[in-house]
Amino acid sequence: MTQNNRLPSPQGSFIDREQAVMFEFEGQVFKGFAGDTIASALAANDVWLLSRSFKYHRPRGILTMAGQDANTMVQLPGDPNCLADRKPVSDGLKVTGQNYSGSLSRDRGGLIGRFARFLPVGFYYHAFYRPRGIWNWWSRVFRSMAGLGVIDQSAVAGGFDKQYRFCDVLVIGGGPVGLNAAIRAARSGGEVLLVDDQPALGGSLRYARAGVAAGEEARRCDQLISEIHATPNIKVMTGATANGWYADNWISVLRGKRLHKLRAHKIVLCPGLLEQHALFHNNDLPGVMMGTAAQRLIKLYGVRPGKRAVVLAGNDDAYGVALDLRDAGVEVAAVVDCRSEKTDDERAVAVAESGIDVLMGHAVYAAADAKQHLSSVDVRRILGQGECADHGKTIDCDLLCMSVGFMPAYQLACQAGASLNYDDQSASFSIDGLPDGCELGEVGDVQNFPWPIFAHPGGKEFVDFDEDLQIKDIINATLAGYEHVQLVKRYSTCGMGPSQGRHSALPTARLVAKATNKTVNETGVTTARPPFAPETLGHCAGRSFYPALRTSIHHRHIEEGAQMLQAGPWYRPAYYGDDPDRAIPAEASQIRESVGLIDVSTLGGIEVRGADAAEFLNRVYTFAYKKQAPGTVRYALMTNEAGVVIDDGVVCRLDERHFYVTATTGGVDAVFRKMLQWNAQWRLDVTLSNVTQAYAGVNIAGPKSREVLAPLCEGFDIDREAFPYLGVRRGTVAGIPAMLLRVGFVGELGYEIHTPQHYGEALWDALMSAGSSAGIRPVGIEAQRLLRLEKGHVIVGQDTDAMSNPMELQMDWAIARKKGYFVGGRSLEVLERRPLQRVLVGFCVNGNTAVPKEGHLVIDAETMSGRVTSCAWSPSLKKTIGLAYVDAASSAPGSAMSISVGGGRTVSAEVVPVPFYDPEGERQGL
Amino acid sequence: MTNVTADPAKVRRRSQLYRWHENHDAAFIKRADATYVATYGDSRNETAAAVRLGICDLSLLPRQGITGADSTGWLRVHGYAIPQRPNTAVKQTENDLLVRLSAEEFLCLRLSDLEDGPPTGQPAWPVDGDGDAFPLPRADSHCLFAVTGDAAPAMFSKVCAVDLRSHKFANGCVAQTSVARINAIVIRHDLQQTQGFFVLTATSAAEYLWDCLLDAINEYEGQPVGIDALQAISNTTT
Repeated sequence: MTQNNRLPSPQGSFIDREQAVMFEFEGQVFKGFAGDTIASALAANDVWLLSRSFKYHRPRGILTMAGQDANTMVQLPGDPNCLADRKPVSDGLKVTGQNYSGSLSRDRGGLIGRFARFLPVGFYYHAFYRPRGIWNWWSRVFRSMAGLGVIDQSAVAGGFDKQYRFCDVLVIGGGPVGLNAAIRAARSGGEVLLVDDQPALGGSLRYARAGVAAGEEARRCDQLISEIHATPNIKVMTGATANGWYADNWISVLRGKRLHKLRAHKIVLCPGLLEQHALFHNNDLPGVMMGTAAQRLIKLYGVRPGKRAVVLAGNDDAYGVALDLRDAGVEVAAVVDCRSEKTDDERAVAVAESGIDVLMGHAVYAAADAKQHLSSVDVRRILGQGECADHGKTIDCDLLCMSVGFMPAYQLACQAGASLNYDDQSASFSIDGLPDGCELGEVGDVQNFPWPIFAHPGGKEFVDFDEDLQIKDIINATLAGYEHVQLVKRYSTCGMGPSQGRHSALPTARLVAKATNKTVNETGVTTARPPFAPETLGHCAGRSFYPALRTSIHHRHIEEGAQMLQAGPWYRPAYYGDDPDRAIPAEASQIRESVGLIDVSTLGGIEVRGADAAEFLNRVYTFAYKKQAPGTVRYALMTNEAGVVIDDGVVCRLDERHFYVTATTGGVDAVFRKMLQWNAQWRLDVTLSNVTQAYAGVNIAGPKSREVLAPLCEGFDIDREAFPYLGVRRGTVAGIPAMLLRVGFVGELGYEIHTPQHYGEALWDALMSAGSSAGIRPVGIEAQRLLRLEKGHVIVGQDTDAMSNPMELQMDWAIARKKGYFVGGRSLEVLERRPLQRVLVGFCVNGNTAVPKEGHLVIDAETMSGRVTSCAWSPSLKKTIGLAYVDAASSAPGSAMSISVGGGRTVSAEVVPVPFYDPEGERQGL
Repeated sequence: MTNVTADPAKVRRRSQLYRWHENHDAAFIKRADATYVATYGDSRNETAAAVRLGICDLSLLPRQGITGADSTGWLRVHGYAIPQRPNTAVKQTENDLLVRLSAEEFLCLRLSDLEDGPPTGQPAWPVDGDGDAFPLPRADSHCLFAVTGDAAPAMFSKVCAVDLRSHKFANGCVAQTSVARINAIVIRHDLQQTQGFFVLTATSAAEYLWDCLLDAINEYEGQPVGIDALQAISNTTT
C-alpha cells in the first residue's frame, strides 16, 4: 500500500520516516513508520474501518486518536481488545478486527442493528427468563454475539512484573500544565517525577493550535521539554498511564508490562482534558472524529485525516482545527458553529478570511455513509435546546471533526476524594475537595457548548460508543424509574465499557438532568473508580510472591522419597514412598516397634525470660508453672478470654528465670502476638522472644530410641532415672549443641531434640547414621498424626473449633483452678457451672466397614449430634479409631454412635475411653 | 584469595543453600564450624558483578542478638558503640556491625569473620542469668544475604516497598520490613565504595528469598558472588 494520506515533514513528530515497518491488517500487508500506531498507519493507507461495535456490530473507526475510546479495539495474536490508536506498529505484526461474523467489512452480525428497536436497554431483564432455566441457554447465545476479542489460551504473555517507585512530587500529565508544574516543583529542590501516557512529552502543545501562526506551540513545547531535561531533579516516565489513586498518594502506573507502585509525598494532577462528542444521527461513523483526533493524526503521525471536511464547532478551538485541516491539504467545506454569535477569536477571523463557509447557530443533525464511511452531513439551524429546523442542507464530506467541548480528566482527582462540579450557566467544570498532598494543575478557561445533543427520529445518536447506547436508551432508563444517574448506569450499562464513561458521562448527566428536571450539577456523574484505563490481568498478577518455608532437613526428606505437603507456608514430609496406604502404617509400626525419626522443626518456640517469667506463664496458660522444677516439662493449654482452646504445647523450665515454650506450627505467630499484647498490659518483668526459626527439631521415638541416642550424648545423663519422662536437658548430641525434651506425643519412649537451625541436617544425619544398625527410618507427619490419635491427643485446630473449651475436650485436668488469674479463667468458671452440650470422645468403628472421614456427621435419631474430627485405621489396635464430638448425653464409654459416611450410608461405632493405646502411659515412661 | 577445599556437607553448620551453591560450581572455604562460598569459578568476574549487582549467601556468618531491659547497659559495659536510635547500625572498632532493632534489642554481625585471618566465631555475648540482658540466637533464626552494587536499590524496588535508594536510605539505616512478602531486616552497609545491604529473613525462607532475589537481579545483570568478591570490594579504596 502507498500511504496516500501521509503528509510531509514537519508533520508527524512521533514517526521516524527512515524506519519503515511492514505489518498485516485483516490479512493485507501495509507499510507504516516506526512511531506509528496501528490506527495511524492504517489511516495513512486510507483504511478507516477498524472494528465492530459491541451490540449492533456497527462499523467504527478513529474517534479520539488517544486511546480514550473503545472504537479502535483490534485483535493481536494473544492480545485481544488492543487499542489501535495506542499500540505501536512493528514489523511482522498481525492485526485483525474483532467481534464480527464473516469479515470486518462484511459483518453478518451487522444485521442485528435492524432489530434494534426490539433490543432496548435491559431487554434481557424483561425477556428470556421464561420458562424457568431458559436464561442459561440464552446467556450463551448473547455472550457469543456480544463478545469482543478472543483470548488465545495458549499464548504466553510472559514478563509482567511490579516495581515500587518513590518521589517527592509526582506530576501526572506531560502537557503544558504538567510541564510547567514539574518545573515549578523542581525549583523547590525535591525529586520530581513527571508521568505521561503519550510516547513523548508535550501533550496538546504537540497538536493543538492556539493561534493563527502555525508552529508557536511546537516552539513552546521544545522550550519546556528542554528545560525539563536540563533539570536534574526531574525524572520523566513517558508511555506510562497513571491508572488509579489509592490512599496516602499511592498511584498505580502502568508502563509496558510493568505495574509501578508509586508513592509520592505530593501529587500535582495535570491529566488534561477529554474532548467530548456531539450527539446526532450516525455520530459513530468512521470519518466522524474529535477535532483533536484529526489534529493528532496530522501533527503527531503526519496523516491527512480526510479529503473534504466539516468542522462542528462549539468553541473557538474548532477554528484551530479548521486551520490545521486547511494547512494539511484538506478541503474544509464548512465550519458548522452551534453558537449563535460569531466569535472574535483570531483563528475564527482567519478561517473566515480564508473563504471557508461558516454557519453560525447550526448543528450537524445527521450523518450519512457510503461504503461504511462518512459521505455527507445534514446541517440544520438550531431552534432551541436540542431542536433543529425541519430542513437543512447536505454537505458532502468524508471527515467530520467534532469540537464542541471538553471535560477535565477528573477521574484521578475524584478517586482521591475530590468532587466534580458543573456550572449549568456557563457549561464549565470545576474540581474541589482534593486531600492534602494532592493538588490540581492550573487549567485555563474551557469553552463548552452546553447542549450538543440533537435527537433524531431514527435514533443512532450514540451517547456511549462502548455499549451502543442511544439517547432513547438513557431516557427510557429514567422512565423505567431509574432516575438517579448511578441507577441509570447500572440499568443501561452506560459508562461500564472500556472507556469508563470518558465520553458518555457528560451527555448522560445532561440527558438525565433534563429527564428528571434537575440541573446537570445536581445530577452529577457516576463514581470514577480505578482503573482509569483498561489494565490487563497480567498487570494485576505480575510477579507475585508466595513465601514457602523449608526446614533445614527438607532436602533429606526429598532424598528419602518423601511426599511433601504444604501446611501453611511450610513444606512437611507427609510420608515416605509412593503408596500412603503402605507407608503410613509401616512408619507408625516403625515407631511402635523399633525407632523412627520425625522432623518437628516447624513447631513453634518461644523463650520467656525474667523474674516474672513463671507468673507470666501462669496467667497465659491454664496449667500452673510457678512450682515447676528446672529441668522439667509441663503440658501447656492456652485458652482465650472466652475460655476457648486456641493452642497447646509444652513449657520447659530451663532455670528459675528462663522458660522455653513450644506452640503449634500454625499457631505460634498468633500465640506470640497475644503474649506480647498481654505482656504490655501486665507490665511484668518478662522478656519474650519468638525463636521458632532459630531451632530445628527432630523427634527420635520408639523403644530403641535411647539405645540409638545414648552413644551420641554428652553433657547430661540419658539414663531413665537421670532423665525421666517430662524432663528437659541441655548438652550435645554428636557434638551438636542440643536441648532434649522427653515428651510423649506419639506415646513411645522418645526425645524431642531441638538444635540451632543450621545444625539441623547434620543432627538428622548423625541420628540416621547412629540408628542404622537399629533399623531407624524417617517417619512423616501422617504417621505421627496416627500415633497421636492412638494416644488420644488432640490437635488444636483439627480436633477443636472456635467454640471448644477444655471441658468439652475432657482436658479439664489441665486447668489449675487454685493458682489465681489466668486468661479465660473466669469464662471457664462460668462454663463449668453449665451442663455440657457436647463432648469430644474416642470411638471405635464396629466391624470392617468404611472408614469415616474427618467432618463426617454423627447422627442421633436422624439429627446431627456431632462430627468426626480425626479418624484412621490403627495398625497397632487393628481397628478403626477416631475422635468425634457427640451429644454430652451420649458420651459415656459404651454408648453407641452412628456416623454418616456419605452416599446415604452409615457406620456404627462405640464410644470408648481414651487413650486407645497404652492407657497407663507405660511405654512413653520407659 | 582463599584456599578452597571445604565440603559443605561434611561440616555441621550448613547453609540451607549449600546444595544450590554446589550445583552452581561453587568452591567453598571452611571457617570455624561453617563453610562459605569463596567463588563460583571466576572471582574477577564476580568482583565486577559485586560492584554492579551481586548477592552473596552469608547465612553462616557469626552473629548474635541481645534483648532485655539491660541490653544497652550490658553492651556499653562491654565496650560497644551503641546506635542512638532503633533501626540504625554502627560499625564497631573490630569491623563488626551493631544493629539496634528496638529500644532493647540489638543484633551484632561479626563482619570481621569475612576478613582473612583466623575466624573469631560467635560474639561472646551474655548467657542466661546475666542480669536483664538475654542472648538471642540470631545466628540461626535468620539467614543472611549480602546484596551489593549500584543497581541494588533498583533491584530491591521490585521486591520491597521501602525506598532504599542511597540518598533516602543512608549507610547505617535499617528497615524491618517485607521483602518478597516475607519479613526481613534490611541493613545498609557499604563496602568501601560499593553500596551494600545485608538482608536477614527466617532461615527456613532462605531458599525462597534466594530464588526471589535471583529472579529480581536478572534485569540488572546481577549474579551470585562468593566472599572472595566481597573481600575484594571491601579492600578497594580510592
